Amino acid sequence: MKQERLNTSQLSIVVAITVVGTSVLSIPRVLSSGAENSGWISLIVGWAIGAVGMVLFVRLAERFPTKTLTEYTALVLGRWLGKVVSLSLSGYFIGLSALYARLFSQAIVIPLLPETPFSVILGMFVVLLAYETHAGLQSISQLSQVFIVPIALSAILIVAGVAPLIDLGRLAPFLEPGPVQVLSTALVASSYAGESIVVLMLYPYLTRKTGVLRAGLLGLGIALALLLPVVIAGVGVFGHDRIKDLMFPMLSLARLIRLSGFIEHAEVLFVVLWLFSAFLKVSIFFYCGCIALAQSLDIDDYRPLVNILAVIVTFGSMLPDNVAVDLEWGSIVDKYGWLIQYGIALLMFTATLLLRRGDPRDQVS
Amino acid sequence: MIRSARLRICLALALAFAVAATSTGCYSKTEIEQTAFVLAIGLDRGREKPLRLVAQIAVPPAIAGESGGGGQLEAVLLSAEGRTVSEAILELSKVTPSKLFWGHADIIVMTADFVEHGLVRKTDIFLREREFRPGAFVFITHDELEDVLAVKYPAQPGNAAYVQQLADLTSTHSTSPQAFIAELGILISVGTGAMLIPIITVDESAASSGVDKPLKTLRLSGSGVVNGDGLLAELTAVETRGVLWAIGKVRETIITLEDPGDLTGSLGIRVFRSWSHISIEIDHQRIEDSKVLVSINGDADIIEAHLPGVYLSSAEVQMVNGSLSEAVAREVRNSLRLLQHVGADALGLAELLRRSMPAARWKEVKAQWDQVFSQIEFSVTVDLRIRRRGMAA
Repeated sequence: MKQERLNTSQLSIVVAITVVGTSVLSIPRVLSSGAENSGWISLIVGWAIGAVGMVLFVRLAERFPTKTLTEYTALVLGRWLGKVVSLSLSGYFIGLSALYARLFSQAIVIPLLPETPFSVILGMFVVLLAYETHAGLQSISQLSQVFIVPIALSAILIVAGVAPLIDLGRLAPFLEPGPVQVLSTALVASSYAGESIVVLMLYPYLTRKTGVLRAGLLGLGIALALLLPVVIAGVGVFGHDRIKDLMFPMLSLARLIRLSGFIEHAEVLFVVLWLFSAFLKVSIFFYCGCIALAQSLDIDDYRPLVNILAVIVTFGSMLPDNVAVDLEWGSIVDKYGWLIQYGIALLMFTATLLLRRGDPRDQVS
Repeated sequence: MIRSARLRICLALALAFAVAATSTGCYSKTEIEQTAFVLAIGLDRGREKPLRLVAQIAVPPAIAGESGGGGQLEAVLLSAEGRTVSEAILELSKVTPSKLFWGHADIIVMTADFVEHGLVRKTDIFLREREFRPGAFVFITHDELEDVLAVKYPAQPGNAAYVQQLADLTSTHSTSPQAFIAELGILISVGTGAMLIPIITVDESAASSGVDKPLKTLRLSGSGVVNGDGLLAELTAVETRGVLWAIGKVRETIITLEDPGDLTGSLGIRVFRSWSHISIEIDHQRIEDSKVLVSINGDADIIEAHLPGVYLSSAEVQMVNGSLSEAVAREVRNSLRLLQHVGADALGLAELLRRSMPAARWKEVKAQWDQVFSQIEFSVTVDLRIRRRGMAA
């Protein structure tokens, strides 16, 4: 299983896509709901928390360089508690895969293909997801390397297309809702950055164990460079009051592009961005969920689990009765995701220090 | 041998399936002949229900000039009433033999009567429903919607294209604004401020005399000042331009100066570029004593001069600069007074103030904003400069 290989530059891109993936759809709305016009400050602070989190993830992974997080939970916490934690992690990855698969289908069906049954889009998505996961980590990382370019270009073109409509004054006054609200929203932003916890599952597959922290931070930096302009453009165009009501702010921005009365309806840019980024993000999460479950159950190869988990993802995606339920579940993940991501890593890191666990011979110097 | 034969059969079946699957079209397709392309939308108060929707639906064969394309009609006008826009659409669907498609509706004309009764809860669908265009142009009219949406101009392919061209070309005279439905929707949902919407009228005054059947045209004449509550005021073309100067939206316009400075005669001046800056000197003790500074700059050409014996030397051009700037400043002050009188913050001053004070303080100011806006003092400075004086020496 660990014959699959990933280099550090691929890791940077995988981290960037994991973080940007689905958040790009709604991040201006989520941050404006909490921090009003100061969502961009929350984003930067959230990313600072995420950078500290990345240091924690890498330092923890360095103590068990040949094992994934779900493999060494049992070593550190004991067999039963370890299994509980690793199964929870598997549940976290699979649960989010289901939620994001739902979000993916919804963002295609509601604005673009309203007459296509939601289950058709979801079904096609899950079939592709299972196929991609069967192909393995290398395939996912190579796809990410190819598609990061259209993802970044689409985001840049959307922001550039609405640039004449952006009023940066809408971001003033600085820290308007007060520092407490801005900081609490920063925790929500840190949940997005904290999805880079996939590093703990991918670390053993890295060809070289040096420069991993730099690669992880670079990945977060790329994600910030793409998301910050989106948040600023969203608030700059709509204002924080209006953007709170927009289901897909990124799509609404793309719809406003109107150049010389000739180029209009630039939804295609959104489609390129959304198809690639959301699919690759869910692929990475689903892959991590599969290997986490395989390792929790002491199964050598994750592949036999892929189809079963794909069915679970499909039915999990169909659980929300309507879009409001879906949004509520999403907001719970945004609000408390950081507790799981950094909580588990911190718990494990503290336990390895206190209990002096980890293999010193294996450790990266 | 047997294996290769099986492989060939499998490949042939796969190919047949691929061809069959890709040549039958989408399962939920709507044939183009069965689609009713709405080109323009009219909104009015209904007789029996609060809202009347008029849809201008294209007749594609007539537009393409084919025979048997429904006579001379390039578009038909259908109307339906409802409590909401969506209900009116439902009613309209009952009389249309094709599926209504709103993605080409680039024009939305509202009657003044409709706007006067408030716009809250009337524009949401244009932002929420995916088919509508957020960049559709909005207009107000005092005429019957059917009259406005029926006027055609010979060189234009249809009424909607004609209206769209008029809207596109407002920048050539700047006496009428451009307004988009997305802008209006945001204004209404945010709840502060006001915006200018062009008034469109059916007009025969431009028709040349001596023609048997006078040509009806559409005319953009000034604007309506609108917020969520409705139509606050109507501005003439010059008053509209006064506001547009202040918010930096005069792209190009023509001003006639009579007896500029010490000179006797008249000048036709084309302003070809202008920009503005609005700032507020806030009096935090008494917010109504704050001062709004409006500064307008721009460049202009002299395109017509009737000043006997005047060479237009540099000193005289300087004099013209002063007169031109003073004329525009008067125009702007007059328009701002009008806006203050009706309590229409079309300059976005509320938003400027919100940016410059803590949220708690802004809440207090917002509560008494109408009163504050009516008392606030404006200081207008204009610096327009003549850059060229045409081909004549």
